[in-house]
Amino acid sequence: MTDPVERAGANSGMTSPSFLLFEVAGIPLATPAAQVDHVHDTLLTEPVEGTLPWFSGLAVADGKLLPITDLGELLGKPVAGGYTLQLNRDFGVAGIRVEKVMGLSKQPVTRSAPADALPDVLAAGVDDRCIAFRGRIHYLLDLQALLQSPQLLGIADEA
Amino acid sequence: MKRNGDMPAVAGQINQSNDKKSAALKTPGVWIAGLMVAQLALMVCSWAVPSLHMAAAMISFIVCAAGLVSLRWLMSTAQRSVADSTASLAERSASEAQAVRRLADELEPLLKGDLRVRASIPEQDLAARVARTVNHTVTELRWLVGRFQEFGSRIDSSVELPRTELRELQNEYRGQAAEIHESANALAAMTSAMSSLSAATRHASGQAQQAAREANLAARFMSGNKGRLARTREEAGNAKRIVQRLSRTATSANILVGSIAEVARRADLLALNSTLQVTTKAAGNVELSRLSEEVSELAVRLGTTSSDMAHLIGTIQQDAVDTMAAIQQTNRDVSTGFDQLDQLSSTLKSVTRSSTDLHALVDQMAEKTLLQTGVVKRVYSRMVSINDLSDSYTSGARAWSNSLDELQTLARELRSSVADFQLPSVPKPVRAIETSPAVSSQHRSQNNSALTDER
Repeated sequence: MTDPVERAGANSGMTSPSFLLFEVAGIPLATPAAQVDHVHDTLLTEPVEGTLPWFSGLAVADGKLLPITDLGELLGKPVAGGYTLQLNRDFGVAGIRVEKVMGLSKQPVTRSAPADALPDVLAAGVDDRCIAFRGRIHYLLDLQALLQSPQLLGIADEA
Repeated sequence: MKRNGDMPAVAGQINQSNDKKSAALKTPGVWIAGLMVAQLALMVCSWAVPSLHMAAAMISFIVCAAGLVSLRWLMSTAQRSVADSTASLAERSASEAQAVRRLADELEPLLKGDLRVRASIPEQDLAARVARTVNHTVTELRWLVGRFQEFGSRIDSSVELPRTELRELQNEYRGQAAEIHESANALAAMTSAMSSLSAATRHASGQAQQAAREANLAARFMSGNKGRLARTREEAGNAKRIVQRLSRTATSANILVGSIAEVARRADLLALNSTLQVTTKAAGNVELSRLSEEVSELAVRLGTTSSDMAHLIGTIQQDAVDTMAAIQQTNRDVSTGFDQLDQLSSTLKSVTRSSTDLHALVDQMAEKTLLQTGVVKRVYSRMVSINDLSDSYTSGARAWSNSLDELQTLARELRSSVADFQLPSVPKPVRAIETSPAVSSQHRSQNNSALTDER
């Protein structure tokens, strides 16, 4: 699931901000660790009728309801299983289902032109900041901005 | 050669006149002889009886006187008779001599071998008899010369065919002798080959016996190998069971490793979440941070251990699978080896039996070869005898041929010896050569009758 070496390095100090590295639909991404409250591997989700397919439904985490958004489904590549990133309550009540979680990293943030291959869905949460990890570029994804984008606010399936 | 008695008749005529003179001389002679016997008797009597000497002397004187008178008479009678005979004979002899001279003139060509001459018969008795005799002799000579010529021709022609056949026979004898010689040489070579074969069969017999012994040893060795192979198969079965158990154990261990890996994954997730909690909520909490790191290290070790164990167990399982395959292959090889050993053992038993049988057969063969060698040697000696006999035949044929040549030469000489004789043109006598006295006399009588007719 995670890279032990990288993670050990990530926890070696608290001075610099750390990032959680993950992957969705084959796209390497990263998000500030402060935005994530918990990582669930198994989380029972109850579908909600009348919602779009990328909205997996509602789950109960820590005794509270947690709406779950399937980011892979949203990107057109749904994956069974995976992990659910529970956002910090300070950033919103939401859960994002991703494909893989690599772990935490304290690599410095660099800037790079956004790749043209990034889907428009992620445009609301991605800018030119990124983290290089093992030869791959993980673009920083602002989960709060993504969840507050108009595309993800409307979950009703009007069709 | 038959003679017809003409010559004795002539001699009788010549002696006939002398017979009369002998008869005239015979009577006085008897008288004289009687007187002399009486004189002798008287002398004996006078010597035996002295008293009779005088009488005997008287009688002797008378007898002597009578004898002298008789002797004188006898001589005068003989002189008269001889004179008469001599005159008659002279007259007849002149006539006969003339006839004989004429006859000699007629028979003059006979001295040159001309048998065609015939003597004319004169009136004189003696010359006629001589002429008849000569004619008869000439006739006999014609017959004889003709027979000589005929016999010579017949012998010549009769000898020619046997000589030709004899030459062919000689050639055949030579060819036969060459073949016999060649056969004898072949038999000699065969004898040598049979001796070599006998030695080879003895050697082969020893080798067959050795092969039987070695096959027997190999069969026993194979039997021992079979026992060892059975133990190997048993041990392979034990190893298979052990490896199967090891495989099951590895599978169980793999399940445990899966559980450990799950624990490690959960510990890792726990470490991650604790780190997130430290990062977001308990920043600066050193104990929580240390706890998070310990959990993270534990998760790392668990992950590493589970990964290593999974790798090791995977290796063990793979090795177990390979070992199972190897054991199964070993079992198959052992089974194949068993089958091959069974076949080999059976084959070796067959080889042993065959070698034993071969040994017996080769012994029989050697024995029969020895017998055959003896037979061939005897045949060779007989062939040598036949060769000698053939040589004798050849020599005999050669001698026979030489004899025939000599006979032909003699026949030619016979014909040439009578070639000077000239015969009249008369039909040839019967061609068949007389083979018995009866036939010969019959033929002679026919010829004589023909000659008599000719005469």
